[in-house]
This record gives sequence, C-alpha cells and structure tokens, in this order.
Amino acid sequence: MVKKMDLSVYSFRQLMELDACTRCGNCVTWCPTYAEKANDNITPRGKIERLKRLTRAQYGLLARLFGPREISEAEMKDFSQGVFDCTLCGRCKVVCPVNIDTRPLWIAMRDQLVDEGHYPELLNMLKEQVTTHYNISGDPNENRLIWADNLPQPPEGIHKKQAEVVYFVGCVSSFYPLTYTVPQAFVSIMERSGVDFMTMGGEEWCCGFPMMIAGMGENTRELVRHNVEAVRKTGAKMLVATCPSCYHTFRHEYPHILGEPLGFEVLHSTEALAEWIGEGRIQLGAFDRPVTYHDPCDLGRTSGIYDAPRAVIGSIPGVTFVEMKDNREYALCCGGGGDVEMADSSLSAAVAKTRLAQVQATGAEVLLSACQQCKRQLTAATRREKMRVKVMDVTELVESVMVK
Amino acid sequence: MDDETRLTIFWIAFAVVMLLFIVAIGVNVSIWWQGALYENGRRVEKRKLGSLIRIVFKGIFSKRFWMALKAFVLDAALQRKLFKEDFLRWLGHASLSISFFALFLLSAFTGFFEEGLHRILGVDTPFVRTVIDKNTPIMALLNEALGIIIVLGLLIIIFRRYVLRPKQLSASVMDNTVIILLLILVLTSYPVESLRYLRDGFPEVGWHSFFGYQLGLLLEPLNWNWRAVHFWAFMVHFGSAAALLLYLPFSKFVHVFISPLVIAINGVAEEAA
Repeated sequence: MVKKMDLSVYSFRQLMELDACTRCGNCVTWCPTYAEKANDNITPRGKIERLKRLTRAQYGLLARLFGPREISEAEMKDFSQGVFDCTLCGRCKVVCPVNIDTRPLWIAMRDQLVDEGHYPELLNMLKEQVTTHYNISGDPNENRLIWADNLPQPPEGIHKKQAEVVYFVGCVSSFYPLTYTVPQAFVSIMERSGVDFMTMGGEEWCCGFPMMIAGMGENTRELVRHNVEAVRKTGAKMLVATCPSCYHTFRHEYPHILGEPLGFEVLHSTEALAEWIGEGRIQLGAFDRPVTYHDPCDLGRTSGIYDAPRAVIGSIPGVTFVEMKDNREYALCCGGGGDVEMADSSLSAAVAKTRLAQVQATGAEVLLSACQQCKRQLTAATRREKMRVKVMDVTELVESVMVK
Repeated sequence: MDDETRLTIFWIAFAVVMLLFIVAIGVNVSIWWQGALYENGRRVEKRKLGSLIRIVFKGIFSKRFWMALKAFVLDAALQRKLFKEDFLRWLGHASLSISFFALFLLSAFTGFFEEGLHRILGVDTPFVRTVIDKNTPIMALLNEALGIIIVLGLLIIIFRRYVLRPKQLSASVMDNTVIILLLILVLTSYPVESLRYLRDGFPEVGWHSFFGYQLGLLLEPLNWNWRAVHFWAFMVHFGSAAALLLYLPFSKFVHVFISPLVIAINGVAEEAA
C-alpha cells in the first residue's frame, strides 16, 4: 500500500498557486540563497515544481488511473533541502508577476516535511529547547533579564509588575550577548522619556516564531496562550517589541491562532519611537556620520513597516542617510532568517556577505537595522570580512544621540 | 465527403476534446480539493463544497469583489508588474494573451450570433448579419489584425527565449511544446482563411483581410479541390488547438486559467491587509 502525502497542511488556495506558477524565473533572479548556492532545489520555482511533481505522482491523472506512485527517500530529501535552505525573506512574492503568496507556502511545505520526518535534525533541538525551556537558547528562562545585569543603573521599569507598556524583549536579545545592547538601549530610552513600562522576565516565553517557521507550529499553542495571558494580567494597553519576528507573531499570528483579539495594542519599537519623537517625548542631538538602513524581512516585507524606521532616522539632526541598492520591499535578506543557520550556516554567512557589499557601496560608516537577529548576523559578517562599518540597531542610535 | 459529414466529424472531435479537457481540469481541481479551506478564519472540516460556494458568493456580493476586479484588470489583464520591469517581455506577453483572449471572445460571440440568434431564433437584423458574415470589413479586419498581433507576441517570446536567453529562463520540453503548438495554431489560421475564400468565392472588397485574401489570390491558379483542402487544413488548425487544449492542464500553460484567479484572490488579501 503506497503511503500518500497529506496535502491538508496546504490550503486550497496554495494548491491552486502551484498551478498558477508560470515558471518565468523572476523569483530566481531575486532569490538570495540561490545567488550563493546555485542549486535549483532552493529557488521558489524549483520548490513549486518539485511539490507539483510529488502531488501529481500521487493525485494526478496517471495516479488516478493506475494508482499513486511511492515517493522515494531521495525525492523527499531533494525537496527538503530546497525548502529548509530558504531564509523565508519573501522577496520572491514581491517580484512574482502572478502574485503567489510565497512565504506562507514555504512554511506549509516545512509543515508537511516535518510531519513526514524530512527536516534538519537541529530543529529537534530547537523544539526541545523551546518547549521545555521556553526560549531558543536552552538557558533557564528566569535568566531572561541577564542583559540588564551590567547596566550601571537598571531602570525601575524592568522589574515592575504592572505598567502601561509591556516591553517584549525576545529570545535573541535576552540570551545572545552580542545583542544585549538593543534592550539596554530601549529600556534607557523609555525611562528617560517617561514611558510607564515593564518587562516580564521569566514570564516571557518564546513567541513561537522560530517553531512556526520551522514547520512545527502545532507545538506553539501553549506558548501563545501563556504569553497573551501573561500580558493581559499586567493590564498593559500596549506591547512593544524590538524584535520584528516577535512583533509580527504577536500582531498578525496570535489573533489568528487564538481566534480572538488580543486586548492590547502591538507596536514595533521603531513605530513607538517615531510616535514618541513626534510627541516631543524624545529630543535628539546631532549625528554627523553617514548611515544606511537594512530593512529586516519580518518588519518590512512580512509586516509592511518601512517608513517608521526611516522617520526615526530622518529626525536625527545632521544625519546623512543613504539608501542601499536593494531597499524597502526589494531589500536583500541578511541571511539570518528562516532558521537557515541551522540547515546551512555557510549559506547564511554568504548571504550576509553579499548584503555587506551593498552596504559598502553606499559609503556609510554606520549600518542600522531594527532587528537583533539582523544585527547579530551582520555584525558577525563585518568581523569575518574585517569591514569598518559599525552595525547598530535604530534604538541604539536613538539612545546614543538622545538629549532628553 | 459532403459538408454535413465534415461538420459531424468536427463536432464529434470537438465534443471529445472538450470532455477530455474538462476531465483533466477536474483532476487538477481534485488536487486543490485536498487542501484546507478556511471560512471566517476557521478551518472547514465538513461540507467543504457548501463553504466554498458561500465564500465565493460572499466575495461576489461584497466590496472584495471590486478589489478582486481591480487586481484582475491591473495585474492579470494588463500585467503592470511586467510592464514596470521589462517592456519587451510585457509586449510579448500582452500581445499574445490579450489578442488571444479577444479572438476567443470574438469567436464565441460569432458562434452565439450565428447558431443561437440567427439559426435557432431566426434573428436577421443587419447587425447580426454583419457579425456572422466573416467577409464583412469589420469582422475580416478584426480577425486578421488580432491574429497578426498574436504572431507578433509569439515572435517576441521566441526571440526572448531563444535569442536573448535571459539567465533565469529554462527552456524545458514543456515550454517548447507549447510554443510549437501555438505556432502551428496561429500559422495555419491564415491558410485556412485563404482556403475559405477559394472554397466560397472571394468577396468584392478584400483588403480588410489583408493577409488571407492575398494568399488566396496567390493559391487560386492551383485549382485544387478547395472544399476538401479547406476541410483538411481546418482539421490541422483544429488539431493543433485540440492538442494545446489537451496538453494545457498538464503543462505550465494551465496558468492561463489559474493565474488570473490567484492574482484576483491574493489581490483581495493584500488590499484587505
């Protein structure tokens, strides 16, 4: 008896999208991982083609007439490699002439591959850490505020139990020292501008995003419920995240998963900063070095936020802002997305190197981003490439030039 | 073979081709049917067909219909993304797709006027006569001009694919087959038109059918059995159309039907977001 693939992980529309693909190859020219690893399996066109072939083998006309064909291990391995070597940057959607909603399709492919046991082994570790420690690093979750330990004077808000604003720090900034400066800067800004804020410490659990994009979304319900309940208990009216992935998950995925509104507003830190600067709560001093801005995929293409970070940068007196060749919806990925580091770390590094070349072409001395993962990824790349560019989060720059 | 037998052969072949085409498209739809359906954000577990019908009707009678229509016109029919990106590519695609669709509509209307209005209902107004008579200047010109635009589009596509050869294009057997079938289809249409003149006699004014008419005049001295030659030439033309139609559900060419739908559906989702 041939084991048939379960296609119910895909939506009706996604299976239609497989037939809508014209194989024009526009996506191929814009795919950041294919540019580094010329393997057709990786390309959006290649992934669609492979899935189509597999579905036809089991549900197509010949399968209906003569019975479904067994899918070989080699075919599944081939398919899996392409699907997990994707950064989920979503640039393919922007350039697709038939508007295929690619990113959710790639995630559905991962769901299928996880169900069928064809995925990188390291993802099991991720699952283990997130479901038992409630964070991606596997550290004890009560250490979530470790980044605050070396602040000269920790802001009062860090340990509050109730406040207007909950600052959701995110796993990367909580546990990876290279990015501790992001939450440190953000809490300092909030304190100095008089924002009534708090953090949740060990009550903050991973938002579930890394699992959702790994194709393990089924295991995130507990995290979602816990996080929403924890925020609701504080009575906060607003949640702010410096991490675009946490922001996206709270804002766009949680209400869908829970089937109800969250009961609090969700903002990304750049949106909050733009608002506070506009209200005059933050006064900025001059900054005279040329800067450029890297759009994080989950903030830009996935969440549609391009203007807020640019507004914040533009409000700094004397700043010289230069756009990179690929910006806004066409921005190149930093290579740190899609859990690709777990599938192929050299591929992830190669994508970052290409992005740095675009940074270099602008002549900027400071590379800004609004994502701790982009910062971590691009900082590591500048060190490898020995490039004289300072990588900063927008919050860090704001904090450094803040006069009030 | 008399005209009646020829017509019977044609209609039987047409019915078989359409039936096979519907079956093949049905298999594609049955694959989509394996996927999950969502209504009001919730996954539908039972009575999927009922839900799908509800979703479609709710969509039609809401403002989402206008969003879908906008996406359909701008992104599916006019292909604005292609226009912004590469004019030559857009020109090739638009010439082929828009003219093909226009010619299809023209044929459908002519068929409806001829079989439905004129033959069955007996309507015989000057307008109906103009539409059903392929020799009237406007009908001859429309048919011929749209055909020329299709040829132009096809030539641009061939030039791009096989001469310019953009890096991202991979010419597979599937692509080549579709292009060859399209070429046969388009290139046989003019001789069929010329042979029709030779079979039925040339109209008084023929310049509107600028290519078919001239070709007919050129072939006239051969003095063949034009009735038989026309029938077989038409069958080759029809055969290529049938082959294209039957190959379509199994090839990437199925996007002709599916892409506009996906563009419209995803256009609504984007605008709503």
